[in-house]
Amino acid sequence: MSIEVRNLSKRLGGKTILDRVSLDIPEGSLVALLGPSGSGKTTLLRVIAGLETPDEGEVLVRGEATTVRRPQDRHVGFVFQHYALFPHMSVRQNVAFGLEVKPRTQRPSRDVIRARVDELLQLIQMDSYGQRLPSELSGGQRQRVALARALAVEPSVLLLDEPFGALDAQVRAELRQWLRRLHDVSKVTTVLVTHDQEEAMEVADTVAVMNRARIEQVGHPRDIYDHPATAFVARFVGQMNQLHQVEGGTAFARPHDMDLSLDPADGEPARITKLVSVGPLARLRLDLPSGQELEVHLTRPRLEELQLAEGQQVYVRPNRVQVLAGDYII
Amino acid sequence: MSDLRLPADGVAEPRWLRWTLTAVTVVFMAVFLLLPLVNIFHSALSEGWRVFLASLQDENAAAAIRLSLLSTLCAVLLSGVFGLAAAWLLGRHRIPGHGLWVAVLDLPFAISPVVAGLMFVLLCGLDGWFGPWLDRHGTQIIFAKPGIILATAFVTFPFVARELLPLVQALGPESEEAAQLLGASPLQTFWRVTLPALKWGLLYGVILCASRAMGEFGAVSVVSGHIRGETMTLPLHIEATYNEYQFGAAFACATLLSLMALVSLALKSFVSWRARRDRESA
Repeated sequence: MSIEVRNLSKRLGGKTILDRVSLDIPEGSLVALLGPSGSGKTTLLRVIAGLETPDEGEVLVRGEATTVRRPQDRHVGFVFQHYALFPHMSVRQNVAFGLEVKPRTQRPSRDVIRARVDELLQLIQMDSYGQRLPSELSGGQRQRVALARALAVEPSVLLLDEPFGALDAQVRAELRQWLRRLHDVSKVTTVLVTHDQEEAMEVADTVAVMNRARIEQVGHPRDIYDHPATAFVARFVGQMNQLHQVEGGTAFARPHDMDLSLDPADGEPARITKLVSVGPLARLRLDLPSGQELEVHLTRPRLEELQLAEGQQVYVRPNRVQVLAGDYII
Repeated sequence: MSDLRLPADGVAEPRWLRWTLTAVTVVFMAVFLLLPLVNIFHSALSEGWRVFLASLQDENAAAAIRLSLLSTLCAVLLSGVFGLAAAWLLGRHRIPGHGLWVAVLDLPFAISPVVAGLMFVLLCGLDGWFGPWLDRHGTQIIFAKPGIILATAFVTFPFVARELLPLVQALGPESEEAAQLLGASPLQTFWRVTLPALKWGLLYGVILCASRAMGEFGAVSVVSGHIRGETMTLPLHIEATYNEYQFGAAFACATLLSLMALVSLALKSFVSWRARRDRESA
């Protein structure tokens, strides 16, 4: 189901949490709201869910205003960062909850509910865990149960609030891929809140970068990485070197868009302070005479060609520079 | 679980100090807590089983037991409902004067029960604010059962609220929000999600409240009027029989009260053990 967010504003205790935020979420898409903590992304998600009321603006679902509807009438599936499973209910009871609380006339029969729960437990690969309590599960398992519980009521929108934030890196990567596959199969319109740019980039079709109560840029992950619209986005998404002030803003270059040379004619002088060559890329830290630090990534062949070592004097030059306006300061 | 073992010898206090502290504690508990309790049971039975049972079946004693049970039941119900509501309000919402309300919650603990009783007399007595109005409508509160119930409820009001407030705060709004978003009505959310999460705390508060209500003396004494067989609770009955030198009867009733206290103590330990177990597995 398509969602349109129109001009949402919210203030709390004199602090602006959402500042005239607008966003289109097309039917069947997977959109990530990406931003640092305090940027307003979770509040935006909660307004879409109906858990918070905005001061101004509205949320349209299929062109219809929903801001006035109660949360329980919105057909929204919501997954919390800390799972929010019902601790006294078994996995099965948790998953069945949304079906069990339906008004008698709409409630499926017991057999239908049982079959639906079986199906969902299979989907999350936890068929044999139905009788366990949430406390007997690992974090990743709990979050899968929370997802199954949200999917049980066949929501028209799935909202995920930092769903993998409390999990360790490996489980997080697995669940991320699983979520993407799930979305490819189910095609439920999904909004994912995260502060992890890698997660947003890997999972989403569209990323909306939020900063200080506003959306700074919306686009395909690749566009956001290659063509950041503001200095904030440039710094927040991937690593970025801030080079110097130029007319109209600041020059930036990605670490992999820089090259080193031993010829003084090839760039500014710099000294290598740190060299880590693990994996396909070598990561180098450089000190400029001005005291500024730069991060440079070289391929392994290039590193071997140059025969670099820590403490060595080199000459650095960006291959590709982007000039961005913006008041973002380190 | 934290390590509860005592530190090894050498780093701990000297042995003589540990023995002295242990001895002081044991002697104190024996002399001031256990001995009086044993003495109550001994005195109650000193005139034989028959006298003991007869004193409990005495008409006035039975009436006192019934009134004590009634006022305890009412106090538990009132304190339970009020406690749930207050804990939910103060634990979930920021209302104006939040800190003040939390402090007011403790008022019945801070105030002397006798003063609490007097407050009700000043409010509902014949010379009080509402007294004449109540009298015109044929209702008597002071020197009657409603007054005793009110006084008991007042004194025990905070137990459940105090017990639940931190639990409500710790529970957080998330599971309730999750239930709502899954389509549960507010009532379904309360019965299926909130209450089960609070049940041990609620039970614990209710037991504390009941044991306090059974033993309440000061506030009830002021509003009771001491009418035999009508407005005497068990503690008042014990005092009255004792003052009339009916030691056997007084101690028999005291035994009953002590037994009820011991039962609630046992229940309380059981509930806090279960609650801890649930918490640890959560």
